[in-house]
Amino acid sequence: MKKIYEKPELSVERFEIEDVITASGITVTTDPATTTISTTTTTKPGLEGDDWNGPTVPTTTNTTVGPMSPPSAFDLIADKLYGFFVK
Amino acid sequence: MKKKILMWFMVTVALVCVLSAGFYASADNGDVTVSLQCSGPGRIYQGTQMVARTTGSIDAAKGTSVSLTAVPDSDGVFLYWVNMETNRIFSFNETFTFAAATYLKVEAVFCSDDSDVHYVTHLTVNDNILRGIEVFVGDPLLHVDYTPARDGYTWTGEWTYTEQEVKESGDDLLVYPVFTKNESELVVRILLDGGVQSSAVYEFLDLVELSADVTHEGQPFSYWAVINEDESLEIVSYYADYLFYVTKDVDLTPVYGDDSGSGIVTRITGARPNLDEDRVTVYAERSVSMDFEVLQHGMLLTLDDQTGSRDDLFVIDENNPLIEKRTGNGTEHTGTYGVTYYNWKVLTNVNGVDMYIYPRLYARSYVVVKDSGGATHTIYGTVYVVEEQYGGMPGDDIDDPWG
Repeated sequence: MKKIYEKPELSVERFEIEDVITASGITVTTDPATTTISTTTTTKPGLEGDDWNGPTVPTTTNTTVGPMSPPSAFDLIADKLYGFFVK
Repeated sequence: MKKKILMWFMVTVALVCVLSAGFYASADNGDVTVSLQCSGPGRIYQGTQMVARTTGSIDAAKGTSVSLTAVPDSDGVFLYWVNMETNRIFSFNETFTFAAATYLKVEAVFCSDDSDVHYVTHLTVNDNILRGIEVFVGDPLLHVDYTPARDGYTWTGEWTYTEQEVKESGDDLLVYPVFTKNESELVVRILLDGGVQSSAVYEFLDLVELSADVTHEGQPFSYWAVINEDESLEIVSYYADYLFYVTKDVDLTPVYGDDSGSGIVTRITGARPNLDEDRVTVYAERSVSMDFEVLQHGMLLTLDDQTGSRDDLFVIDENNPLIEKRTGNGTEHTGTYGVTYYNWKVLTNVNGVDMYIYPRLYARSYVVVKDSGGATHTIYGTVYVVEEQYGGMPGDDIDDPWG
């Protein structure tokens, strides 16, 4: 995808309200979250995050890596490539 | 067998195994249970009725508004409401009002009003509590033994208060890590009529606004769709003005003259791993028609292959410990919700060899809405699978125990 994109001249101006491109009636505007902007009446979307902590200390389990269903030959090869060795 | 160890191979995070189509659940009005707990000197009231002194619960009909009030004892001070499933702060207001949508586990946290002590809470930027502790004013308190992380940002090594400031303050404090945003370039392209109409470069989490014409070639606007790598279309918004926070390169197109769709979109947009910090962040995006009221949104996650592979199992289920439910606080009709999973890798033994693996992570977004008739609906997005794929480099001197 990146091979064909044309990088607009945005530089510093990208942090201001501006129409970047208008083509076929489509308008793209940038709105860094730190500024007020909206040229439309659309409500600003929410943005939030959350965490989920896995075990803080890796635990050793004696398991077979891979899906629960019988693995294919491809799966067996692919599973061996997961991760890195610790010893 | 002498060999050197490996290096990081080219890592591709690959993903997106669509295991199921999103579905619009039937009306599911009923009661949900809100479990309650008090920490410290205080009580929880619903109206004039005390519903928890230490623990308690209430039932509420889906779609109704629930209002709880935290009342400190004479020797206490209210601090905040906490989602006990996520250890994330819901609200700092004594009266906490929310729509009953799914089961919740809520805690009201109080501390002593003794002027000799203060309550110091270390949090992540997402308001997940790392530690809350009551200490004497003037006593030294070390920051938490924890390296904060945030997708797309780098921790400066600082907190919003220094340890000296914490020691000297007599106030109850919320202490957050300080981050700086990493440089990045993400490309948003718009395609229409078989060609690239425009492209623009953004930074991570910039807010992008796209506005489509109301009509195109005589056809009315229907929705915005993302163009997947296999050229399939996935609806992302029914709003002609589509606002979203960019988390990856994306191709989009406005679609005209297609009346299909429910007016509700909830989907996982992608995942951003950071293997150096042993974590991955999964992003969900929602876009709900104004015809509905958003009661709650969130994300389900599991590491269990069987659960993640079955539509009927991978749903909101308080009794299934294999499913982690993350509940957003906001009720905006549109928005992005990112969940970061830490300590991703696990040590395991394969054929007598200890090794680290990254377990498959299954994620599924959901949104609970109420329609104009008062019926509530729970809508689940498609299941998204996050897994790491390692590719070896020919000629590398690698310690290969299978070799």
